[in-house]
Amino acid sequence: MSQRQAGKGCLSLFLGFACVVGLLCSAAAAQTTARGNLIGYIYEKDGSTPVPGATIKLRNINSGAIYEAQATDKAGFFKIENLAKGIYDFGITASAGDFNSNELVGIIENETTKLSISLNPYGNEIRQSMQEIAREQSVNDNGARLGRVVQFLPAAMSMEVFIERGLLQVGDRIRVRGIQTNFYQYVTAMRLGGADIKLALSSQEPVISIVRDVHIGDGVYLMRKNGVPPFFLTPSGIATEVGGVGALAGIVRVADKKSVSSIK
Amino acid sequence: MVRRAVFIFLLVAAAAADVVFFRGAALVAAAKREISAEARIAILDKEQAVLPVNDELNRLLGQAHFEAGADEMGEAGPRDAHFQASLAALTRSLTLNPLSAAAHFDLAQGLEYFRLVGIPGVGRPFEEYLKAARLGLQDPEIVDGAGRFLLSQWDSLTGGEKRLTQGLLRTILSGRREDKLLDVLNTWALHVRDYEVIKAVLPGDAEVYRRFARFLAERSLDRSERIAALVLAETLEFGQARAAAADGQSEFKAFKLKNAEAHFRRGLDILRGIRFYQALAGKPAIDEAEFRTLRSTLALGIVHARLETARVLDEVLPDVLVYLEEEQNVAAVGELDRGLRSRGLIGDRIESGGKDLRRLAFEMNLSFKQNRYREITEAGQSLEKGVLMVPDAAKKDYAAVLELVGDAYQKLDYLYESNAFYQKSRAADGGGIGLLFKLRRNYERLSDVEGLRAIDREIKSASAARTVDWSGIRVPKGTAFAQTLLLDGGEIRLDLRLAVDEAAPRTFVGFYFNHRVIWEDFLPDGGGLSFHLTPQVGENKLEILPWNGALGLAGLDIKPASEPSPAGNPDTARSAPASPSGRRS
Repeated sequence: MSQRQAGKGCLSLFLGFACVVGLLCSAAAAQTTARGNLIGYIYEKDGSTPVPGATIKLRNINSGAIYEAQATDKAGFFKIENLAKGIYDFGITASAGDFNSNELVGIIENETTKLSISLNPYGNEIRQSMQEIAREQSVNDNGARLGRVVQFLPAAMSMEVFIERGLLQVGDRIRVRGIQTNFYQYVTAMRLGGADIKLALSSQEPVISIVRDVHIGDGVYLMRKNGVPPFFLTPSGIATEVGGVGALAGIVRVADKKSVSSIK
Repeated sequence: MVRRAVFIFLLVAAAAADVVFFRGAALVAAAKREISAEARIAILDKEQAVLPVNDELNRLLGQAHFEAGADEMGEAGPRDAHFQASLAALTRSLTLNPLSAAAHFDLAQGLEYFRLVGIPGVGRPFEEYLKAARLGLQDPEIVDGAGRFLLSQWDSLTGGEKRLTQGLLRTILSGRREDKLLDVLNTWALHVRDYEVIKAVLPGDAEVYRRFARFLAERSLDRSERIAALVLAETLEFGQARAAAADGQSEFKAFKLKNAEAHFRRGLDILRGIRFYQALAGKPAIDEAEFRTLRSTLALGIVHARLETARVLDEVLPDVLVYLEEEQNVAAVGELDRGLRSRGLIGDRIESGGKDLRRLAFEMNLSFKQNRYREITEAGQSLEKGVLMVPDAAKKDYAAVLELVGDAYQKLDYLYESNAFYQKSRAADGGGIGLLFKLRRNYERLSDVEGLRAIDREIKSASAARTVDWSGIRVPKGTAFAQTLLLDGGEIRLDLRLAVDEAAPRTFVGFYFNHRVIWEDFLPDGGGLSFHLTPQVGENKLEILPWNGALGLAGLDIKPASEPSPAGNPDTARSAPASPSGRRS
């Protein structure tokens, strides 16, 4: 090999190496720029007493990747850095137990999302029911049985459901199943004793708006709570955003022309 | 012929436009009745394909696709397809009607999701929120959502955008809704924390300032801003009490007695809530003398309103007693006295027949306030001459009567007689520490050394224990712990021992003595505090209120003011708060 050829070889090797390094750098840079941070505070139910020693866990709803922050400090402050851009659901582990959130949080590249969270523990009865339902859901893809249809009101396209156990909330996804019935829907509105309610407990009989006809005796099954699959199977309560505009919340139906969809 | 053809064509075109318009409106209404997003999409999509000129229809279609996409949040394929359709429909809606605040707002909210899942060609929600805010100032949902979003972006706003945001926030808060106020405060605390920003949008309302101050304390934020807010709140409340007094007077003049009484009572209640935070701010906002005058005016207003309809003294007695506690002016008490006599509620002279001791005590009190001491001593003498059987239930009133006779003798310098009545009063109902001090004053003036020694021993044993054990007491956040202290009226130093929880944030605590704030701050290291105070003779009330977390108490020591504070205890207050009425008993 002549000296010139050797020189050419060295040059092409160098150029090749430079290209690889360049590509790696740009990939790394791209990866760095497509990441963001999340900071915030965790408070007790009152929305102002800090919860020290609590841990927030995030799950990317696309990749399923789970991230965990270090425990909160005395002021209830937490921080997670270098999160991939995307939408996350989250849960909190604190000394009072595990708390699922009904809300989603968005992470934007090169931005720090801020979030204040309060932990709202269930009462004992609800807590037990939630744990039962979560256990059943974990082994049964068809959902956990919540109750049964006791009346069909075709004029109002609604059904009266006897809640056998657990609790039903506006936003929950349910399945109504019987001999001639089989469909899924979200609980968009509930009424009890003529008043709008957000939550119905066992032994109550709320009236729920439905999208299809049902029959008395059809079973009502809970598919998932309030729009997103729960982070923890046996939660002790709900984690909700305090005021703020950090979370991407579930959807509330629009009532009339003037109002707008309350996505937040 | 041509003209007729054109006319018919226009007629047909107008009819067709009408049909299209009403069909579109009917479909929009039908879609709104549907619960499921899929059903709405099915209805609206059909119409959109036929005649895509209805902006509202497109907006609803965008919403429906958005909801359908959000329902499939975990499934990237269907979710993104719905989100793209939502974006297209909302963009179409805005092309048809760029002035639709609702469509801008919907798009803004949608963009928050679209940009996160990687929908191409998506802008920032910020601009859409801004447009929605500018166009939708009449819509409370838009004002609320856009206002708080823009507040969260405060640092990146231009001057004009900041002014717009503050306008939106003022609109949100003008409704005086506590939940909205808390939402704004939480957003501000998390994203901004610039006090000038929030102070500029808070409505000038005492209740709002109090809520703001409470928020600052609960969140362990700036103490001086909290105190400034409370001073402002109390100043406004004082103004409200003044207005209540004026309203009461005008209602009274119109002989609307119930309304007048309600105004006076409201004013008095407002004044009872004032804890004089101005003492901590170091600048007087409410004039003490004016405060006392207003209080007695309101109390007298109630008495006047009640007197107009009262048939017997008992109907007005509780309110008259409240007034007498406040009033120090002899002429004013004399006027009340005349009013009571003219209505026949009391006699011309003190009735010492002994039948109604409560009434007798009241009449004596009324005379005492007018310096008519002879009248009282004469009534006391005639009471002594008669035979009186005092039931247990009336012993307290009997003791009060005897003490008042003793007071009257003391004023007239008949010290032996005074002491004799004081001792009888003690024998009737024990007597409080105040009575012991009255006795002591007499012994002093008589130079009765033995008497002085004996009474000093009694005062010492009757005074509050020098040490109070609070161990095991934990005061919950936002709850006041009250301790009554029986004191002799001399200047004291209170040494407080508090349990500091090192794992928790530093506790922010308020201390109140006889209803007035004496100290409020974050607890110092070690949890020891000392206060120099001038108490009232008799009962004094110390309140401890932790604002941002529970507080453990250890104990309290009462020391002479001259003793130095324990090492490490900051000398936190060398104030001498008067009693709420400014009166030293």
